[in-house]
Order: sequence, then structure tokens, then C-alpha cells
Amino acid sequence: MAENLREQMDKALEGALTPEQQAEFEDYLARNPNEATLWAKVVEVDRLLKDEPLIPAPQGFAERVMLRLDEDTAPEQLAPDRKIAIGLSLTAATLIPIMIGLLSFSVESIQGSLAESAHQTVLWLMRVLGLLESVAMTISGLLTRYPALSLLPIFTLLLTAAWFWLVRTLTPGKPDRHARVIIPVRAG
Amino acid sequence: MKSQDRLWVKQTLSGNREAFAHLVNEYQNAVYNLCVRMLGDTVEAEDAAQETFLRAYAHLGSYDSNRSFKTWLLSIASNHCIDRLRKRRLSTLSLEAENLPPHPALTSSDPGPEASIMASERTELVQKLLSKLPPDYRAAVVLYYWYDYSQSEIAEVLGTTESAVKSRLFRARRMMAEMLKQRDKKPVRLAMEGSNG
Repeated sequence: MAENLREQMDKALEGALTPEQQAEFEDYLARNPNEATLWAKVVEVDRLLKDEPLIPAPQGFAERVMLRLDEDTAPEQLAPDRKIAIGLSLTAATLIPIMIGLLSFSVESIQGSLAESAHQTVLWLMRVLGLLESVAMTISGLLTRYPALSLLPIFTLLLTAAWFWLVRTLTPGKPDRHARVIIPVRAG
Repeated sequence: MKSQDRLWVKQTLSGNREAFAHLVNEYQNAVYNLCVRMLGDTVEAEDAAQETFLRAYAHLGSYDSNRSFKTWLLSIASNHCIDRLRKRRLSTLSLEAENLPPHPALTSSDPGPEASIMASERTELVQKLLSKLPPDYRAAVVLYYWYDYSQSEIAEVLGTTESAVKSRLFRARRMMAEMLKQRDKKPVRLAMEGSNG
């Protein structure tokens, strides 16, 4: 009986027990007075919850939602397009000077200030790459000498993640500028 | 999904805000009631309900139109409320749910003062019982009793299994029954102490 107790109670609340199951259930309750007391309270809880009405949204709720919507968001559907547009612009902004710069090395007919600045961009990029290479070599040397340093990035990442989690957890929700202030009225 | 909902969702996605206003009007009571029942505080519930609609709007592109819009919306609302309750527990700023006032709609004088007081006391008791349940249990109880959802539908809303929902409902009812039992014992004990003293 104890194994089926959950099922039996669910069915009993719905009034879906067969006469045999009902008899078995009542017999179980008669043999377990503590369970019988608790069952009476379960029935009371069930009735309390079933009698409780749906609480309607306060006046002007929909208008306040639309006001917040006007200030806060745009549908996600538009977001990917915007992301793609930004990504394409950035790629183009990076690639165009590089392409022109590379061409200026081989095609003499490309002249003027545009070609010169693109040429300079490529040279500058090459210098940055050289700098990055020397930084990488330094790091590699340090890691060979002190292998424990390789744990530093992981440690930093974990620390940052923990910090963000803590801040997010302890920061209260954004206050609602449009929420109606409801003054509770106590009956009696 | 209702064909009208489908149309409003489609129109919203093509940039028609008026269509989304229709969806808000249609489901505001369902979402608000869930938030009040979950959070037990009318001001926080309003904020959570508004946030639910904002999230729904922002993620409308990922909504699967084969699902019921109401179920999807309630799923956002219940997850949001569960998050708020967990944060509330973690935060030292948490409010004691027992001291929260009942909803003004049920303390207003509309159904006559006596009926109103009884309704208010019942609501307060229900809210007190709900406030003692863990957030996951609370969500299952609210969806079962106020939305007439089957256990499998509740499982869909809460992203869990049907057997988990059955178990949560069973335990929640027993927990609330235990609370009622304790509550009924207290006045007797006080009366006995009074007569002895």
C-alpha cells in the first residue's frame, strides 16, 4: 500500500478510485491514524487551493508593459540581422585596406594617398605581428622556466567567473519605473 | 496553438507592436496570477509579470509556433519567478513572506464585507502555505490548481518529467497538510497553557 500511496491519494483527490481501491485506501487509513489525520488535511488543502480564484492583473498593466517595451527592447528576430551587418562592416573595414595595401606592393598603377595609407596599414600590421611574436616568445620562455605560470590564466578565468556570479547573485533586480505602487488594504 | 495567437505572433515578428499588445491583453491575467502566487508580493509580481512579457517579446524569434503560446509564456514566467525566489533566498534583503499583505483585489469591498474578509483570510492562508514550499514545488502547485494543466503539461512548462511533477505535487500537498496540522495544534496548546496558568 505504501508504495502505491501517492497514486492512491492522487486518484482519491480526483475521485477516481474504484470501489475496491477505495475500500483498500480506507482500510489503510483506518490502520494508520497519523496518516488518516494527515489525509484529512491534504483534502482540506486541496479544497482551499481549488476554491482560490485567479488574481487579475491590476489596471493599466498592459499599458505599462507596452511602455517598458518601447524603452527597453527590440525583437530578437531583428538582432541576428544587426549582428550580421555589424560583423560584415567590421570585416570589410579590416579587409579593404589590407587588400589595397597588398595590391599597392605589386600594381604600380595604384597610386595616391589611398594606396599610400593602405600600404602603411599593411606595414603597421606587420610590425604588430612582429611585436606579438616577440611577446609570444617571451611567454614561451617564461613558461619553460616556470611551468606553474601556465595555471595563471585558468586561475584568472575562475576568479573572474566567481566575481561575476557573486555580483549577479547579490544585485537586486532592476527597479520598475512604471510599476504602480499598490497600497495594501487589510480587511477589518 | 490558437490561430489568433499565431497571427499575432507573426505580426509582432514583422514589426507590428499593436499585435503584441493584443497578446499582452489576452494573457496578462494568467501571467500576473502566476507571479503573485509564486512571489506572494504584488509589487514584485507586477515587475516579474512585466519582465515575462519583455522576455517573450525579445525571444519571440525562437518561439516554436507548434507549441501553445500560453504554455510558452507561463514557462518563461515560472522560470523567472523560480530564479527570483532563489536569489531572494541567497540575498540578505529577502522579505519574510509571512508578513506580506494579501492581494488588494480580494480585500476590496466588492463581494460584501463579510465575504471579502473570509476570502481575504483564505487567500492569506493559501499564500502562507505556498510561501513555505520550495520554488519548484510551488510552481507545480500553482500550475496544477490555477491553470488546470495536466501533469504532463506542467512537466513541459517546467522542463522536467511527469514523474517529477507527480512527486512534487504529492510532497507539496503533504507539506502544506503538515503546516495546517501544526497551525491547528497551536491554538489548542495556547488554550491549555492558559487554563493551567
